[in-house]
Amino acid sequence: MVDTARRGFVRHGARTWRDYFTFNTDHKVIGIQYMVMAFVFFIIGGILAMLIRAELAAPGMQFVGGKAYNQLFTIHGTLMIFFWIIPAFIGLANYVVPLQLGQEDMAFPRLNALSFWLVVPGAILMLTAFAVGGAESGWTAYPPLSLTTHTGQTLWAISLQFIGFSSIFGGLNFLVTIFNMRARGMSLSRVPLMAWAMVATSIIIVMGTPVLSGALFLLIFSRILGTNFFSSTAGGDPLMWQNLFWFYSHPAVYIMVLPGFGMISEVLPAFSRKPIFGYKLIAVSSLAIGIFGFLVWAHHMFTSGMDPLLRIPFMITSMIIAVPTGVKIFSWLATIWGGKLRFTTSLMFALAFISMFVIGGLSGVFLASVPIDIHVQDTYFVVAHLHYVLFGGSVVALYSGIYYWFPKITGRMLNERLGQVHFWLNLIGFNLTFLPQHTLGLDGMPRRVADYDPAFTGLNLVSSIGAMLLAFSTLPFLINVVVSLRRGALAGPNPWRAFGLEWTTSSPPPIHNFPTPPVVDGDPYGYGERPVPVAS
Amino acid sequence: MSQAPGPEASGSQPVMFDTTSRLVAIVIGVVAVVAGLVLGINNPFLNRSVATEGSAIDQLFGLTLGIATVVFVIVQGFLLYSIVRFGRQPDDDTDGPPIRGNHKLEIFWTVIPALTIFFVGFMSYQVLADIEQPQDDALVVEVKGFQFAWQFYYPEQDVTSTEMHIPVDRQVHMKMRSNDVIHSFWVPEMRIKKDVMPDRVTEAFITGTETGTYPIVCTELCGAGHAVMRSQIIIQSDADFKAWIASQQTTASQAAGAAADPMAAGRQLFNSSGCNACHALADAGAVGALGPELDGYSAVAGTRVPGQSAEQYTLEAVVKPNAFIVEGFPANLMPQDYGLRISEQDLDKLVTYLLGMK
Repeated sequence: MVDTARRGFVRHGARTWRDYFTFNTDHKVIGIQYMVMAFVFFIIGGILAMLIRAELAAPGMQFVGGKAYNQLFTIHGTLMIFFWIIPAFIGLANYVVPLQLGQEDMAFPRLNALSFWLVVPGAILMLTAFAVGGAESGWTAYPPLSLTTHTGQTLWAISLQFIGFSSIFGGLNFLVTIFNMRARGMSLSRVPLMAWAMVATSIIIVMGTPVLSGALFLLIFSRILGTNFFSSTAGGDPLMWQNLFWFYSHPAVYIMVLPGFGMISEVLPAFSRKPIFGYKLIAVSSLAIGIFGFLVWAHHMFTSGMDPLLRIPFMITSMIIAVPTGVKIFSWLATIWGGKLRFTTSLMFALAFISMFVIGGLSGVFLASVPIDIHVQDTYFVVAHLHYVLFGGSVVALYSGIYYWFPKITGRMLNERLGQVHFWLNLIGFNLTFLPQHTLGLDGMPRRVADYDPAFTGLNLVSSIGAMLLAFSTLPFLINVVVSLRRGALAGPNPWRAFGLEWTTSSPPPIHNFPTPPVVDGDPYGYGERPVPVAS
Repeated sequence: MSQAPGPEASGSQPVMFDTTSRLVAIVIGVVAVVAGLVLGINNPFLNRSVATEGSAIDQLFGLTLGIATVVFVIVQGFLLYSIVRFGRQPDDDTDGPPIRGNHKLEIFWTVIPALTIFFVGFMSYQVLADIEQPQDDALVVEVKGFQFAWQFYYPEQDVTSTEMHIPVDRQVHMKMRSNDVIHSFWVPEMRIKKDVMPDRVTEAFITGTETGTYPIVCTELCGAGHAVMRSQIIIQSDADFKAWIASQQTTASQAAGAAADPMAAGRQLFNSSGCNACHALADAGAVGALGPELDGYSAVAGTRVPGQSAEQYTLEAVVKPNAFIVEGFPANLMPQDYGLRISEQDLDKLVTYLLGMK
């Protein structure tokens, strides 16, 4: 085994911490590389968010005005989306999905390593943007504004090209892995819902990301070669960018939340001691969201002066997304109903996810309705909505998944008491930060402003205090991870007595995951029906 | 799912809905409907709209809020009840009942939300058709957005202003266009918003219902001064509006005969070109704070760049703002295309005005 682990410059598996800095082909190493790097960017993006909230704690411009402020939220949004949520989910899925399928690795281990290492130059370029004048036209980078700003904007676009290719390779890898590499006996109806979620996610990545890459090329050409794709006087159209950008970036929301849906569907049964309710409908609704997600992009453009009649079909498709999403929520509620709930931190994050995501989903229906959107588009109502989806949804689900699989990944348990402190600070801080922003938007506060009407002072102060609390809540989590890595209780193969093949091997799993290829005789939700499988 | 037994197939099915949970379910349902009705009918989240179109949007908002409240209470209610009711005993390691689904229930919670959502969609469509109906007697206002100010031109009256005046109870037909990047015109109190695009005209319709002064806000990120790109809309009685138009026409005709008063012409240009958005100047009533204050400017203009006269420097500061940056202000903040936007003659007038103040 050790001999095959080192072949030329390629490494497989980690024996020392140095191996985590190599072009390593082990999906477990890559998963950890992704997650640790993503968390570093979560912290950087969080620090930028703190600067934003510090500026907004009072009206007027105190610390950062104008351009600097625009750079802050531009990089904050870009980092959180492309360098935190997406890679963090990809990382956790990278670790977990091959184990869930009973495989020794992903289908293309070298491509997998390339996916990760493409993020690194992307990250370097993105942070260098600050040094050369910064990107300052928002993460949406609408031309013509994004054509008039500094060189940082070009670096921003090139950086996202790296991330885009990384995503596309990752998506292909997941699709091939899940469809072609499953344990004996694992028919499609026995595939874990986490893996189904990655199927839907990967379809979106593979179909959507190339469009973003194309749009970014047009933007880069316009900036450095002077092409006119987005200039109406020369036959181009600024709306073309918006169409291309949102064709990827709306489905990207589902890239950022479907893996979370998958994690919740694993966590709830394990801690309710009940099978998942409505397996088929949950799997199908993920695919439905993946497909419908491509038919809604223009709801970001309702006020842009697009064809007025076209707004109607986009409104209908946007609203229809609420149906498969609702199906999931109701199925999860039915899963815990009548169960024997064990309130671990992981379950509490999963329950908080349901509660918070419903708020984000419901405010989404307001935004889908064209007349209401005319009022709230580009206001703090949208900021509140997107954070309820991407923080209350994605990040909370991610925490739930981390608390659930940390023992598998490290072999040690996280401290539950610190976990509870993290959970409550996080939940309270999050709601203090973002709940008031709904009202701010409805009352007339636009987004992306460093200064605002003094009438909005009170709620902004509440929001800023909440944000500080939210930032502080990360501390018990970090302490927990660092301390538990060395001193946490030993986990054993299956600390939660959960179904799923990942729990049938040791924690952490050996280099090729399973001593003997596992065979499956049912889906991974047999709670109350079969005895929990024992580690081989 | 071949091996998934439905609830009816499983023999020893525990009671999932006992008396308590039935009662709780009914209570949650009643609370949801009552809360939905209360919030839907007097929604507390929006202040009063001062436009016909805005009131229609508010009604739709109320309807949507009512429905959303019902869903919200049901989900959170069942979630909370489950948390309170179904926590396991500390030493209980047994599993819950193996229920894998219920077709009737699943069809129910697919179809009912779908019907509800189509209803909301249909109502939205109706409101939308209603609020974008142009009328023949509408007052036409051409709105121009530029970094970082608004300008309003009344073509029928030939009046230009940096504030928007409109008569009450008459539809206003806005034709909007941007000079540079994308802006968005928003009057929160009227619920109207439309992007203002370069090289393309976008349209919006609005009818004021109450006299008063309300903020106009730019809601599309347009650069460093985005947060301060603001103006006001003044909804006034028809008589007041006519009087205002007349007063503006006089000012304009005075400006036209500007040979007599170059200062008035310059002041007019200073405000209509948008300088006032970023530069404070007492003479023009300007309070912008993004760029250097211009009171007392004429005294220092000649001293800024050695070898440049005050006139040369001032002209360059307008058309090539990056050539000299006043300490404490960032480069690239001021738009660099004023040389194209303002005619040569007008540039001369502007320079004369800026240097003419002692």
